[in-house]
Amino acid sequence: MNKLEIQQLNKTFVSEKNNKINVIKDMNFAVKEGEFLCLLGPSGCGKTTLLRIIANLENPTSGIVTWDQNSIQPKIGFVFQEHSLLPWRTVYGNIAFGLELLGKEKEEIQKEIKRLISFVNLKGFENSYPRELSGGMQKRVAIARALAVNPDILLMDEPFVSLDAQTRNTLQKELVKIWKKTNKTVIFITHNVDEAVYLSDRVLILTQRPTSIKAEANILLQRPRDRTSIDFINIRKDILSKMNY
Amino acid sequence: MNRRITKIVLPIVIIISWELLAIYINNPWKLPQLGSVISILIHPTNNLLSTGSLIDNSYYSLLRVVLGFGLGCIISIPLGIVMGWYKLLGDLFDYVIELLRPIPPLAWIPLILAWVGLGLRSAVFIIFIGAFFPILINTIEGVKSVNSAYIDVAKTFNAKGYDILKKIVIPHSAPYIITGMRIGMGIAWMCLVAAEMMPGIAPSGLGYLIWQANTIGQVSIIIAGIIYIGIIGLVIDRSFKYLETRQFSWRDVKN
Repeated sequence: MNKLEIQQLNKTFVSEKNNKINVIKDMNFAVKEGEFLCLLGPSGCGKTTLLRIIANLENPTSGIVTWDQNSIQPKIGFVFQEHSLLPWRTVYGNIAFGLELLGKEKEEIQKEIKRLISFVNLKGFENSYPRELSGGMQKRVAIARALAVNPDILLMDEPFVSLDAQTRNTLQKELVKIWKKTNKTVIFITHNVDEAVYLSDRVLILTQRPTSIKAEANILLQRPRDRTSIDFINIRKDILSKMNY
Repeated sequence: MNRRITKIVLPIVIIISWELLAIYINNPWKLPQLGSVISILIHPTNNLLSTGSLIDNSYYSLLRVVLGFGLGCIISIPLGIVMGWYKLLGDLFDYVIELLRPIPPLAWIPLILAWVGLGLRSAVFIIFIGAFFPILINTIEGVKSVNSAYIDVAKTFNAKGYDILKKIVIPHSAPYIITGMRIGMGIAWMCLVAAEMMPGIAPSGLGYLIWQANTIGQVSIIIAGIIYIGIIGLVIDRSFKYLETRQFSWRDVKN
């Protein structure tokens, strides 16, 4: 069953000097319920704009985004690229943010956050402020905040791009675990082939701006995946050759 | 510890030099000796020049400041928030604010006297003008500097305008507003003392006391009054500073 369908999507920005910049061109794809989908594309190709349109932060110039019938008013869990934690709120307050906006009871919020904090390994840091946390921990908070509202979909915009390689690998591993436990549908943006092959069920390879889908690759490897296995390396090669900008 | 000693060296030097100079000059109408000032300071309830005691005069001065400053906050903070948030309102008020802002508050005194007459109201009005602009400008600055990513986060959770204002804009701007209040309070305090020295504006307060002491050449009372003004100003400023660092410890403030 499809969670979400994108049909004939176009986006053109008009600058103040009336210059038109076409960023998305005739985009069509569907995301299955529970699928982990990666959008792989070069920097500045318009993939963030695509994600923002899905999250309803931006309107498309033309085309439609259709959700399944269970999510007429879809709840979004968005993990931003950088610096999206509210600096005046503690870890607890940040994770509570979405639940507060949904008007949940205090006790219910408390229970849910307690569960999430141990789920993303942040026990003992409830009262810390974001500036006191490492980059990896900040990401965990951002993921917990997105999951807190029990979203219909998890949208992740190059969330691990600013992390060092080791932390990135750890968080990728944890993200796979979280995804398996929660059965969430995920759209994950990256320009890193390795990351896409490690995480996803399916990769959509995007073109340069104005972006559209250039190729598609299904990744059927068992999880947790081994980056050094022959299969993994072959899939990487295949995707790299398909990218070939 | 060493730094503390370094900091206290100069005040001690000044006090000693003052005393030596006073003895050398030997003219209490120019520079009184330390002892005569201290004896006034340690008897703050004595009636001075039939204007009331140091405490009484401080009370009247503070009352005016609290009223004028409070009024300034009540008007400038909400105005600053809407001016920063709604571009149209910001543009609408922009020229008027920019034009009025550089005018020294004391320049308004003749007009204020003509409009509201003598007494408490005129003093409060001047202080209000002094406090108003720094608070307004800082509030606008705070609201305008909200990171759009924070607003996006709220929007992904379906937040509406009121929620964004309450949960993003105001908490983000709060430290800016407190800084504005601290600056505004400093200016308010300066305006007050100057206003109290104006003839007939309010026959009480530390500024009035200093002016009365001046007319009969009581320099030790003038200096005692100045010290009181300084100490009260310092205490107020420190209180705001304390608020800034304690309440907003989430900011990366390095002292």
